[in-house]
Amino acid sequence: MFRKIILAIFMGLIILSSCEKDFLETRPTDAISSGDALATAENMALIINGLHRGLYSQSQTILPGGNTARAGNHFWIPMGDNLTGGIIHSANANNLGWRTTAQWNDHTIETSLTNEILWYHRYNIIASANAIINRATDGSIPLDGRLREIIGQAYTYRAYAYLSLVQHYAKGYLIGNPSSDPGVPILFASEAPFTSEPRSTVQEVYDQCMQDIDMAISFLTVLLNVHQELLMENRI
Amino acid sequence: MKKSYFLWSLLGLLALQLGWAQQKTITGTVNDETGLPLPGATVVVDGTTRGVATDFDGNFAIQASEGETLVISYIGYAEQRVTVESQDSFTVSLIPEGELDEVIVVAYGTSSLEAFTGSASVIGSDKLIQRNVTSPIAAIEGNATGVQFISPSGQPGSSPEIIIRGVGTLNGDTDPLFIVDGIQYEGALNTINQEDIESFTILKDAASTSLYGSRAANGVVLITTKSGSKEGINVNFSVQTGVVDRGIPNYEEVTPGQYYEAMWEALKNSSAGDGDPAYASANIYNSLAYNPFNVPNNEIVGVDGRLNPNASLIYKSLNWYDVLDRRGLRTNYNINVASGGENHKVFFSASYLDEEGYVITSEYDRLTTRLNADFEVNNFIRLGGSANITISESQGPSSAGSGSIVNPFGFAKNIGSIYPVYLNDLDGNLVLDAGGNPVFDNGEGFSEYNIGSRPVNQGRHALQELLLNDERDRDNTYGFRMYMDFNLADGLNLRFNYGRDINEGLEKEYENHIIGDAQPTGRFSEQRFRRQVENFNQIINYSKVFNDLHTLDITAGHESYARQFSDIDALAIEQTAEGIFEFDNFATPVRLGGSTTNKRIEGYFLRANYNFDNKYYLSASARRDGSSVFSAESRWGNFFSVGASWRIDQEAFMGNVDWVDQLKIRASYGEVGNDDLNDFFISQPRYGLTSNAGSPAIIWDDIGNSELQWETIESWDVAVEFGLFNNFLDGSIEYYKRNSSDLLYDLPIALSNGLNSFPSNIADLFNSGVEVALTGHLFNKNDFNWDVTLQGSSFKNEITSLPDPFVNDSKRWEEGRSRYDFYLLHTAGVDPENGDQLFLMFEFDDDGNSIPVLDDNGNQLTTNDWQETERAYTGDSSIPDFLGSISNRFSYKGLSLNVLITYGIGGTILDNGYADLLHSGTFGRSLHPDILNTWRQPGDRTNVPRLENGNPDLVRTQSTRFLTDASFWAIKNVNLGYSFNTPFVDRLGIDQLRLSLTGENIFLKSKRTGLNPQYNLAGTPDGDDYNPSRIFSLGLNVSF
Repeated sequence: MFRKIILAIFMGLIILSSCEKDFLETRPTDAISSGDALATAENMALIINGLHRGLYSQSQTILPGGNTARAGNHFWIPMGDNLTGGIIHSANANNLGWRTTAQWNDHTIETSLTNEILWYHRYNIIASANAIINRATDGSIPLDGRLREIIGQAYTYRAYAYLSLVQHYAKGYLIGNPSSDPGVPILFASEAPFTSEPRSTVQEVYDQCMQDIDMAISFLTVLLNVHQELLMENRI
Repeated sequence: MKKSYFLWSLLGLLALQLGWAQQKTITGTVNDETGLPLPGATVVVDGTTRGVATDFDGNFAIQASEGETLVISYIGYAEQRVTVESQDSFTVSLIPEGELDEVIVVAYGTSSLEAFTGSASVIGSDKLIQRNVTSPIAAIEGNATGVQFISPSGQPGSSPEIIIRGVGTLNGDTDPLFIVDGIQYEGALNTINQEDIESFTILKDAASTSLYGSRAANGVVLITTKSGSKEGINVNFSVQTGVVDRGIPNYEEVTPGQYYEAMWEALKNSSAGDGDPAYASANIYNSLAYNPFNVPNNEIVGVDGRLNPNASLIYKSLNWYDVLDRRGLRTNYNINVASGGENHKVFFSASYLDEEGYVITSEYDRLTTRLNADFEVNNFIRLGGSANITISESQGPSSAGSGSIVNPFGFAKNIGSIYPVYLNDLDGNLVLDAGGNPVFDNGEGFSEYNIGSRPVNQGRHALQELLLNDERDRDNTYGFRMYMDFNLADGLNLRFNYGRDINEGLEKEYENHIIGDAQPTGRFSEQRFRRQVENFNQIINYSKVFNDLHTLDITAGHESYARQFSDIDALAIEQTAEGIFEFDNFATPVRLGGSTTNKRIEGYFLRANYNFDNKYYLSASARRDGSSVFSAESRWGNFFSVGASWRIDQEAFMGNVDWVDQLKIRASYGEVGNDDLNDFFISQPRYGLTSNAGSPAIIWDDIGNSELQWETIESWDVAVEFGLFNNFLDGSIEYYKRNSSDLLYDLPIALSNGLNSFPSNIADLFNSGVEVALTGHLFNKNDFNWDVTLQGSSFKNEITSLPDPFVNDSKRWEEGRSRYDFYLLHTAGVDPENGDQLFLMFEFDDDGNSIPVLDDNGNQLTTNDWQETERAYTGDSSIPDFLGSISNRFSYKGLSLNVLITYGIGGTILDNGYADLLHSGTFGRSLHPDILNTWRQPGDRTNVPRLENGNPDLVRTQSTRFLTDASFWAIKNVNLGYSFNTPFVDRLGIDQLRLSLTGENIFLKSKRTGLNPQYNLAGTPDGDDYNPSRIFSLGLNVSF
C-alpha cells in the first residue's frame, strides 16, 4: 500500500509539471507580426521591398488566393501594349492564357481572372502603402532621412497603384467625363469591418494620384536636399 | 359444520394454490444462436442445488417456484438468467461468449456494446480480411452509416477522404480525427498495414466524441491494432497478387471525321468565316493544322459540311490513353505472429506491398513492421506499447495539379481527336528516330509532314514529359506508443499513455530539359519535411459495481498534444549530366526555403458512466481545451455531453415477448469544438517573410483576428437498436442533428482592402440525417448461410445564419440554403433562329437576391446574352439524398462469397469534365459526341447551341445546362474465398488455409460515361484527374 501511495504522489507530480505556462504560446517562423513589421523604419523598408517583389512575381506567391496564370507586370505591361498597340497575334496559341485577352474577351467577363488579379494586386499595394503612411506619419517614430525615404516611396506606390486602377477600370480621362464617370474606390486604411468604399469619380482618383505624387516629391526632395547638403559638406 | 367445511375447503384450495405457486414444473428448450437445439446445457435454479441437463433435443423440465431464477449455461456460451413467473415453458437462445459482451474501443477506454450510449460504427478484422485496399480506411465505405466518401486517386497508395455526418464547417477542415491505439495520428493512412488492424470504431455523435473536445468536430475514427494472444503461438502468412486497371471509364470523344465536321461548322460560323461554307472548306485545315486523312488539305470537308466520302483515316496513335494506360501489377505479402503466455502478449508483423498504377510510371511500394507487447508486471502494474515503422516510395505523374498543363489526364482528355501522340509522316506511318523509337509530336509544326502548328499546347506533350520527368516521394513513418497502468485500489486505475509519431518525407522532382516548363536547362526541386505529433495523457479511472445493481465508472484525465512540422524545399536549374536527379547535378540554385510550425492543445476531461441493473445507462462527459491557435484571452473552450440508453429487452415485462431478442433506445446531446481553419496562427496578424531579388522583404498576407474563438458543434442523436425474431433481423435506426455555430470562416472581403479574407466566427449551419442499418440472417441451414446487410443514410445541410449571402464558385451561401446549393445561369434551350444559347432572365431585387423577370402574361423572359441576366438558385444541391450499401454474405462449408454494392440516390453534379468537351469550337480541343446535335440552320430545335470559334458567350460552364444527376451504384468489392479443412491440411500442421479472389471497384454506373460521382463534395469534377483503379487479386492465407 505504501508503494502505491508513493507512486500516486509521484504520478500526480508528473501531471502537474506537464502544464507549463507558455505551452500554448506559439509563433510562426515564416512570418513576423504586423506590429513588428510596422515598428521601425528598417522593418517598413522591408515592406517596400515586398512591394517591389509583388510587381513581378506570380500572384499566388504574394496574395492569398492568387494564381500562377498572371505573372505580375510580366503579364500586365505586355497586355497593355498588346491591347492598345494594335498588335495582331499571328499564332493562335501560346500557353500563357493570352488568347481571351487578345480577342478582347477577357475584360468583358466580370469573373475573369485578369480583371480580378490586377485589381487585387494594385489594392494590395495600396493597403501596404497606407499602413506605412499611417504609421510613419503618426509621430511615434522620429522622422529621419530613412523614414522620409520610406514615406516617399509609399506615396509613390500608392499614386502608381491608383493610376493603374483608374486606367484599367474606368473610362479614359480624355474621352470620358472625369468629374462624373465612376472611378475606383479610394481607401486610406484596411481596417475592420473591411467594408471598402464606394467608387470615387475618375477626377477624384486622378486628384488623389497627383496629391500622392506631390507628397512623395516633398518627402523625397527633402531627402535629396539632405543628401546634397551632405555631399556639399563633404566637399568642404 | 357445513359452514366450517366450506371454510376449510376454501383454505385448502388456497393452500393448494400457494403450493402450486411455490413449486411447479417448468419445461423449456435451449437453442444456440442459430436456433439449433443445445443438448447437455445446464439449467440450475439460482442459489439451490436443483439442476438438470437438456436432452438430445435441447429440452428440459425442472421444478421451480415463481420468483426464482433459472441459470442456463453451456460451455462457450454466455450464461442466461430467466426469472420464473407465471409461464410454464419457454425457449432460451444462448449466444456465444464474446458476442454478447462485444467490447468496443471508445474514447480513452473500452465499453461493451450494450453499455454504450453513443453512436458508433465498428468494423472488425473479419470485414477487413475481405478487402484488398492499400489504405485501410477505404474498407469503411459501405460498412458504416452516415459517412460520405471522396474517391481516392488512382495513384497507388492513395487514401479516400471520409466525411462523417456531413460537412459542419464552411471552410475549415473536414477530416475526422484519427486515433491509433489511443494517440492522435496525423500521418498518411496508407502507412498502416490493413492486416495489423483489429478494428475501426467510427464515433459519430457528441456523446462518444466529446471527450476529444476541440478535435472532435468532424467525428473520430479509432484504429486499434492487433495484440498478441495468451494461447501459444499463432503464425499467419498471406499473399495477394493481382492486376490493376482503370476503375472509371473515360468520357467519350468524337471520331476524327466528326471532329473535322464540327470544327468546319465552328469556322464557318466564326467572324472570319461569316457563314461562308466555301471559306470554311478552304481554311479548316489551316485552323486545325493536322490532316489525318488521305485526301488533300482543302478537300477534307466539303461545302456541305460533310467529311469527304473518300477520306479515310491514315493516322496512327490518335488514342492517347493507349499510351497512357497499362495493366499494373499489385502484390502484397504479410506475415504476423501472435504469441504470449500467462502474463504477457506479443504481436509482431511485417508486410511488403508493391503496386503499379494503371498509368505509366505510377508505382508504390511499402514496407511495414509492427511490434505490440503487453505485460502484467505484477498484480498492480501493467505496461506495454508498440513500435512501428513504415517505409514507402511512390512515383507517378506530376503533382503540379489537375489544372496544370503537365497533367497527362487533362492533356489526353482535352486534346482533339485528330492529334496523335507520335509524329506521323505523309502516309500515316509513325516517324522513327535514329534509335528506331517513335517521335513524340510536340505540336510545334512539321511542314515536311504536312503538319502545321497545333492550335493547343504547342511545344508541350504531357505524355512525353511524364516519361522524361521523374517525381518520387520517399516517406518514413516511425510510431511509438507506451502505456503504464497502475491498479491503485480495487476498481481504481491510473494510466499513462504516451505516443509519438514521426513522419518524414523526401520528395524529389526532376523536370526535363527537352520539353516543358523546365526547358531548356532542366530543373530539380526537393522537399524534405518532418512531422512530429506527440500525445501524452494521464487518466484516472474508477469503476465499481454496488449491490449487483449499480455500476459506476468515472474517468478523469489530462492530455497534452504537440505537433511540430518542419520543412525545407529548394529548387535549382541548369542540369549538368543526364539522369542524375540530385542538387550536385544542377548548377544554379533558384530557391531555398523552409519553416517550422507548431500547434499545441492542452485539455482536461471527466466522464461518468452509470448503469442500473444493466437496464438504464447514463453517461456524461466534460472537457476543457486550450488551443494555441487562438489568442490567450479566447483560447479556452468548454465542451460536454450527456447520453442515456434503456435496454428494454432486459425488462421483466419483455420476458413474454419472445420475438424481441434485443431492444435498446438511446439518446445523446453534446457540444464539441473545432479550431482548424488550416492555419495554426490564424488569429495573428502577419507579414510573410520573403525576399526581393536577394534582398530581405516582407509582405502583408494575414489580417488575423485576436477575438477568434472556437467553432462549436452541438449534436443531437437518438436511436433504436434491435434484434428481432430469434435474431433473424437486427439493426438500428438513428436520427441526428448537428448544429455548428460560431463557424470559423474566412470571411471574403472586397479585394480593395488589399487582401481577400478575414478570419471570423460568423455563421451557423446544421447537418441532419437518418441512418438505417439492417442485417437479415436470411438462411442458416445445412451449412448454408446467407446474411444481407442494408445500410442507408440521408443527408441534409442548411445554413441558419450568415451575415451576407456569398457566391462561392458554383454555389451561393445564404440562410435557409445548404452550402452546396447550386447558383448558376439558367439555360432555356437554344434559339431556333440563330443557335444562340438562351438564358432565363433574372434580376436582383433590393436585397441582392435574384428574382425572375416576367412578361405581362407571367412567363419568364429569356435572353440571348448571359451578361444581361443573373445567376439564380437552381434548386439542386450536390449533396446526395441518400447514400448506402447492400452487402451480401454467403457461405457454404468452406466456401464464402461476399458482394458489396454501394449506391447514391439524388444529388446533382455540375459536370465540368463534360462541359469542357462541349465548347463552342476552340480549335484543337476535344469534343464529346453530344456536339453532333449542334444547331446548324434556322429552325433546328436542339439543346446544343451553334458552334462558333472564338465566341465566349455560347457555352457557359456555370449554367444549368451541365447539371447532371449524381445518382450511381457500384460493385465496390467482391470476395470469393475457400477455406480448406481437410485431414491433409491438418497433417501439414496448418490450422487454416484459405484461398480467395478479390475484386475492388469492379463496376460503376453513373449517369454519364466518364463521370466520377464521388470526385468531390462540391459536385464539380473536371474529369482530368487520376481516376480510381480497379483491382482483381488472388489471395492465399495460411495460419499455423
